[in-house]
Parts: sequence; C-alpha cells; structure tokens
Amino acid sequence: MTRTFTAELMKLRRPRVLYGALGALIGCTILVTVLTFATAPTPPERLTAGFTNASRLVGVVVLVVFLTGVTTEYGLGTLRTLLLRQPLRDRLLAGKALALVVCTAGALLVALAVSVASAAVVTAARGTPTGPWLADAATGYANALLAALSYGAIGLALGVLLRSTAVAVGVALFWFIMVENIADHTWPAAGHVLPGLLAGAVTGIPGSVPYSHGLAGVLVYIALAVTAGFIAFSRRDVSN
Amino acid sequence: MRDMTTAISTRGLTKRYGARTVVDHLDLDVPAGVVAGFVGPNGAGKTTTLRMLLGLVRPDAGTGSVNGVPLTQPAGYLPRVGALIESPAFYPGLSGARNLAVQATLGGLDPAGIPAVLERVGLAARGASSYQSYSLGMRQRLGIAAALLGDPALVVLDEPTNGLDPAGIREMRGIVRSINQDGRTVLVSSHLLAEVEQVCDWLIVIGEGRRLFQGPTRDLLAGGGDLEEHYLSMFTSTEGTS
Repeated sequence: MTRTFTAELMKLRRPRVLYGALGALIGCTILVTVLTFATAPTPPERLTAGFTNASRLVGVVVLVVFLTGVTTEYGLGTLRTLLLRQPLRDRLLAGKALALVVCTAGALLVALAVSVASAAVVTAARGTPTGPWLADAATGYANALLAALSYGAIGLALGVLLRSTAVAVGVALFWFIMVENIADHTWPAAGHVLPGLLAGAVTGIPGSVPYSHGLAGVLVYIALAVTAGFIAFSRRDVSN
Repeated sequence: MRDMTTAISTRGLTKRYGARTVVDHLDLDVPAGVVAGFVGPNGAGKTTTLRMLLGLVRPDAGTGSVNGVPLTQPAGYLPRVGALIESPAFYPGLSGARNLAVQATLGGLDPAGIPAVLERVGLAARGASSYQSYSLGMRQRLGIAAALLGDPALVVLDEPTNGLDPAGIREMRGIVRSINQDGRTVLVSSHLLAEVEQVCDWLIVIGEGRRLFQGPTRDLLAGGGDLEEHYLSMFTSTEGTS
C-alpha cells in the first residue's frame, strides 16, 4: 500500500488539482467565517465558529475531491494502467484513500488557521473581544476532519459506484444541497439519520441531535461507504 | 534458439455481457518468445480477451495461465507483463517521464530505468514535456515505453498502430521487432493484416469470440496467397455455415 500511497501523492502534486481543491476549501472557509463574524448581531465568542459553520461546504468540497479522485481514473482510462501495476485492488483503493485523507487533513489545518486569522481580523475591526480559542481549535479540527472524512468516504463510494464525474457530482449535490436541506426543515427525524446532518452535529452546528449520536451515525456512514466502495471496486470488471 | 514453453494458454475462456457472449470457449496457446498476431473483425472479442488475460475483466468460464501462473492470480504474473490496452491512458497534466515515474512507483520498479525506455521509443528529448502536448504517435510510443518498464517477459499491445500515419506504422513495426529481439514474447492485436504478416511469426484469428485459426503464420501462408486472402476466406466460410 505504501507504493500506491506514494504514487497517488505524485499525482496529487499536479498544481491545478492541488491549488484548485485547496483554493476552493480555503475560499469557502474564509467566506463563511467573514459572514459569521461580520453579520452576526452578537459576534460568536469562539474564534473557530466560522470554521465550524463552514464545515458543510467544506464537506461537499472534500466529497467532490474524493469522488473525482476515482471518477477521473475511469474517465481518463488510467485505472486499467494502475491495475496492471497494482492488481491487488483493495490495496490500490486503500492507498488512494489514504493519500486523500492525508491531503484533506493538511488542507483542513490550513483552512482552520486561515479561518481563525480572518475571524480575529473581523472581530478586531468590530472592536469586539474574543475568548480563548486554542484548545477549542484542536477539538474543532478533529471533529471537522471526522465530518469531512464522512463526506470523503461517501464521495469515494459514489465515485466507484457511478464511475462518472458528472453523474456522481450531480447525485451528491442534489442530495446534500437539496434533499437534506428540505428534509431538515420538514422531517423532524432527519437529523438523526441523514449523513450530512449527522456530520453537522459532529462539528457542532446547532441542531436537535446530540454529539454522541452524530458521532455514532458518522462512523456508521463511513463504515458503510468504505465497505460498499471496496466491494464494488474489487469485483467490477474494468471495461473502459 | 527460442524457448518454446507457453507464454499464454487458455481453455474454454468465456465472457458474457448479459445475453451476449463476447468470448466463447476460447482455447489459446502462445509459445514463449514469438511475436503473436491477434486478429479479428471489430467486436470479435479481442480486447475483452486481452482484458481477461490482464486481470481487468473476470472470465465467466474457463481457465488459463500467463507465464505459467493461473489467470485467477494476476498479481502473480503481471509484474512480468507490460501492456498497452486499447489506447494510451496517462495523466494529461504530468510530463511523459512523470507519468512513467507514477507507474514505476506503483509497480515497485526502479525509476532509473525510465530514461532508457524513453530513449528506446524515441521520446528521450520530449520526456519532460507535458503529456497533453504529445501527438497521437508520441502517446502511442509513451504507452509502449510504459509497457517496457520493469523488463517484462511478455508484452501485450492492443492496436498499437491505431491512428498512426504510414511513417508511424513503420516505426511501430521496428519497435515491436526490437522488443522481440530481446527474447520477449509479444502479443499484438491489430487490424492491419499486412503489418501482422510482416511482423508476426504466430497467428491467432478469432471471430464472434471463437478461435478460427491458431498456429505459425507460415503454416497459414504455406499454400500461397497473402494473409488478407486467408483471413477473408475464413469469414466467408464462417458466414456460409452460420
């Protein structure tokens, strides 16, 4: 798996891929952070509040990154080239997933730093005091990473199952932007079962679901998505 | 002196997609050390057969081996197999050399061998250029360079002359010959019968997923006529009996 991981990192070092994903992630975080601190009647006490609020958008970006990490291989036909070099498919997918997890962890760390810095600038400009944030940031980062990885696992599974970037992104956006938002406002139990809302509970977005329930739900979704992705990837013919 | 052990062997190899049988109880034998031509019309099952040999597609029935290792264990034989399947597939944002480095890393191969394979296919001067700037012929050559990474005993080339101009086809012929001169077995799928006749010393002809001929090319041509005439007569007789 080390070879697959290293080879995947070599591909991810493409500037367009790296800066595009990182830029989207940081851009989303800054936007939500500035809106959180500049527009709230009472500015949040926690400097990480913007980072927390951005977690859903960040999650969708991570989902798309994981998803395209797989569908691009199908689209370019490079999957067959990779499988000729690494025929053990579970190792190939595991190495790819691990590389994406490491990149996501790094990108989220940068996003957290940028978010806290921009929150500090906005609160200073408004002349409002801020509380201690360092300890809060560590917990917030861990939870945001877990939530992002649940989006990533679902993205990976969608990519393997649907194999088309356009179709998979369409399905993901329809679900997380449309279905879950509507369900959140119309179905009281939605927060207990839908993956995006459970991920929100983990990151601390106010809702009806306690943290422990959100954590358990997110872990179940990660397990289900990873299992489905690995089974489909291992068994399917590569015919394109 | 060639080693006449078998590089590829299949018995009853079958693949179905729904109700359609694409490869139908195919028995193949490719002796080690030959250049084997794999010919048949579009949709005859050539690429599906090659994909099964390379572990990309699972057979529905039948058995087989590559370099003595069963088809069910592609991880056991693929490290000694190089392949270009259908069309070259690389990352457009990476250079040719970088693409080969990704493959070498993935396969646990020494990247120090990359300049030599680029030199061999005539891409040494363009190895640092982005893959998306490559012409079709250069892409095919990079695909062959990738197939040669790691000193494979068997090289599988699926339509390596696709889209090439006459000069490119001639150049490809030379590359295929040079690969075989190192003692490697080469299996080439092609539509260009004249090319196959010139380069291949072993021939497999399939139609509708079934084997129509297998053996030394000279055996087929012994009675006179060229490969095209024999090839067309096989399909005329098949149509007549179906």
